[in-house]
Amino acid sequence: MSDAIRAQMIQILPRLRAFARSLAHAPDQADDLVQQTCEKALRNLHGFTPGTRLDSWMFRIMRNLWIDTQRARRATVPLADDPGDDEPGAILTGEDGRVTMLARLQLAEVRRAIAQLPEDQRNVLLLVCIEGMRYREVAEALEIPMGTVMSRLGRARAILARAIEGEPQAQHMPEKRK
Amino acid sequence: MTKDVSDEMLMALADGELSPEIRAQLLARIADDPALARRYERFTLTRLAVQEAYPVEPLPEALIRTILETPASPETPTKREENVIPFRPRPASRMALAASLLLAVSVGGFLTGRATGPEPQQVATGAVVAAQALAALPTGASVPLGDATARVLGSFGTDLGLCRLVAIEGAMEERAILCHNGTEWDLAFAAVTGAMDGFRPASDISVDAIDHALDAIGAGAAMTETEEAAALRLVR
Repeated sequence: MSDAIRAQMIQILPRLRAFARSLAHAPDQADDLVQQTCEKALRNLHGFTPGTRLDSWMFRIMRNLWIDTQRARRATVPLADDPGDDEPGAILTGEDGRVTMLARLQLAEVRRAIAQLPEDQRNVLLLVCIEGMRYREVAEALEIPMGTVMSRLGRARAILARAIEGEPQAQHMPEKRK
Repeated sequence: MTKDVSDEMLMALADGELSPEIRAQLLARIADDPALARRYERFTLTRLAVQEAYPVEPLPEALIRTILETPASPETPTKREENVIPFRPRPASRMALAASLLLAVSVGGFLTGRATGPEPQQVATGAVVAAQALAALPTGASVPLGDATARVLGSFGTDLGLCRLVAIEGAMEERAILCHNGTEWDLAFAAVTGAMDGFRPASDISVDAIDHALDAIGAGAAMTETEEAAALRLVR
């Protein structure tokens, strides 16, 4: 069964990457997480129940890896400091020449807003908007009701829309308002 | 006129969820109705904004190689996994499961009869004490516990109720899952390893075992900070 699973894993790589981006914001860090997840999944293939969703199983492995390594590692760092500290620079690079619809400043606001979303909203937002997964697929993969997918997505969208329209965020950031 | 088109409909349209007929009807109405168009634009714009904020990088070849080349586990458990006592996949009752969940995983010889390992009872007591000490604290918080430090790695809604994954790090490294039974914290699972003696770090080994344990008790995703705070208030 392992060859079939490997093929399936390659097929779902894009959504594994999108899910990883919703956990680790920097692209290279996210790909490292995908890589570790694939290794762990293959080494523990007997733990996978054939006929169940491979993406659900691997999302679970990925999230646990992330929780167990990242959160434990920075336990002495205050939690409030963590979202997106190193992220704007990391993602801005390599983007020159892209035709962007949004001004750079707006894009920075969008990134900040996404980084500050609750993790469960960010999971759904990235799987739907980056990876183009159907609501039903996201619901099955994350093992949550479809209504929950839609409500998380709607809340995330509302926050993003405010960021794009330049309304002040709920958490004000004095250093940004110079 | 626009009131009867819900935000959910507009979002579903922007995300390509609607059938071609409904899609065409809605788009026609949007074309005729500037207020509706502005509401719709919020959803198309945010979708594009996410795509621009998270540009998809080319698929790294290393990822494909990892998938093709990492040796897969045999379909029967390997020697190492025999250290992990498997959960029964479909327990007759959840109460029976809860009773059977108290187990310790030994790694590198601990708990398998060597005098150097802690007794399972000590592991259990330490973890329960840790869970009580951490009961009011969010994921990421830690408390000193004798010579060790106990830290919450995550909280989960499960078939057994609220459960928390706790790391206890000192001379030994331990990962424990503790579930609140309505009055107090019960140890559901523990994995122990030596941290200082050249054994693998617990984080490397016990993640797999913890996955199995979480699966067995029907755990969903780790709770967000808000969900966790609400769940903790309920058991306090």
